[in-house]
Amino acid sequence: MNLTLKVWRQNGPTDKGQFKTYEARDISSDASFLEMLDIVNEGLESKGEEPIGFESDCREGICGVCGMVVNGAAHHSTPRATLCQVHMREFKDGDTVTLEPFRSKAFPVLKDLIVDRSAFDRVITAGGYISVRAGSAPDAHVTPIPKVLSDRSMDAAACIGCGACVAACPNAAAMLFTGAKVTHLNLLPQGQPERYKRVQAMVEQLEHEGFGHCSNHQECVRACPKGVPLDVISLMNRDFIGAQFKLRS
Amino acid sequence: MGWLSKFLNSNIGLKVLMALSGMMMLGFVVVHMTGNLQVFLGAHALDRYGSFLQNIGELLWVARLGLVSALTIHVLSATILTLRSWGARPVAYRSKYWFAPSLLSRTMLYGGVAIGLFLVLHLLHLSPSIFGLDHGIAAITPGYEHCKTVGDGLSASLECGVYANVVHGFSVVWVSALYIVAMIFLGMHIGHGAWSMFRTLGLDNPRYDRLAQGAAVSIGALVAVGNSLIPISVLVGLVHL
Ligand code: HEM
Ligand code: FES
Repeated sequence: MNLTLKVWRQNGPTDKGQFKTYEARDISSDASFLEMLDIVNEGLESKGEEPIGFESDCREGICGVCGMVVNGAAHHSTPRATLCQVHMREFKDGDTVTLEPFRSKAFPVLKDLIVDRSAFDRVITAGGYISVRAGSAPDAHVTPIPKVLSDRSMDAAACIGCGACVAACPNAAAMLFTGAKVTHLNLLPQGQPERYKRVQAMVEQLEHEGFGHCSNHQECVRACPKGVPLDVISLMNRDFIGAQFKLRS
Repeated sequence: MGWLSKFLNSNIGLKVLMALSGMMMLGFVVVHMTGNLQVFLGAHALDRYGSFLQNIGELLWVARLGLVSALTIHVLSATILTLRSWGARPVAYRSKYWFAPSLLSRTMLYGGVAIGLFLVLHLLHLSPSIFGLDHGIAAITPGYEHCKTVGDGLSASLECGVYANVVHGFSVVWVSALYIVAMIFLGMHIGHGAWSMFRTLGLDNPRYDRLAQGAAVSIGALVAVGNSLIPISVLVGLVHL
């Protein structure tokens, strides 16, 4: 199949950037979206042009490194899939496809479709840890956890930190990401010692990075390749409000 | 108190303020509508309700102060959050795909602005006495020819009867049309807001989420329809002097 790509090209963080048009010729419908870009880049390189910058690592939907906005949707509109899991059979021959980087003040563009997501790392560093007894590994099942809680916690822990929630949110908020990280630990017994300190620190860092607020549009939830539920945001809100009382008593 | 200002200045803190003030105003809107629907019980009932409100004295001022504070807080935090959210995405997307195209959530800003503008019209229209602006209002708003001015200066008020006010006021087609449009906006605002506010406060329960969403939309629809029934009934002559 043949496609026309409208791709955001930006030489570096300070470059203004612009859309450029490329043709993708003779692409197999079995190719993945990223393989299609590899083929286009090979063509560009053979002509001595600068290849299109994009990130990927595992290419099987687990690392969270890939990601861009395809036709206005983070990771393309395919439900529950990272961009590396999207295949060309989802497009039609002759389609025009628009490729943009994740847009957010907190994710500055480094080059073309690559953005700097280290704001997420700083949010995690602020509180995404637990206190454990150092020494020999504890026996399994030493801490009983109700099934309902472990299920909700694991739903949150499915977050791979790809940033699609920020990209899809009309307010460029990172509430789903931060909510997932807070909830994942705050629901479990192991997370209790730092529960309120954690939410306070992570939300403060979140504010500091310049992300927006939550309007409950639910765009993030639909864009999330891992199906992290909206509830993680209200659970984070609950603990953040609680922290205002608990941290002062 | 540093922690408090830090909390209230955070995005979540500002949303908590919006949720609490919105909850207050929602309570008022429902009570206000229930009171006004007495128009269908006739002039006597509505006028008695009107003079009851006028005669609760200080309590009326407590309620007004509470509502004005709620409105001010609501509008201020909405403004700050909207400006911040525009700043959070300095470069817009060329194309935007909506995964969950919710008309209700996406019209909150427009609806809010529309309700704000409507409130100005509404206050000038139906409670002219609180501003002592009787002459000005009587001159620019059709339908007040039946009113008598009592007193002068700031303490001047119009004596006309709430029922007569409502009938005269809503006999003007464009005024009624504006009210109905505003009520549709208000209903939509509530349809998303009444569900969203519980999530902001972390008071939701995943098991009842669908129910909560349905309830919010129903209350919004009820407010829009209930309030609009009044101008519609005046226009079709169901409610008359
Ligand atoms: C179409 C439906 C409505 C009708 C018929 C109506 C009628 C009235 C009337 C008759 C008054 C004057 C009461 C008096 O003089 O004692 C009044 C005042 C007022 N209305 Fe409405 N109203 C409607 C909808 C709304 C809505 C939806 C809101 C807002 C959220 C609202 C907010 C107010 C406020 C803030 C006042 C002033 C209260 C005060 O004086 O302290 N109204 N309305
Ligand atoms: S490359 Fe690892 S998730 Fe796509």
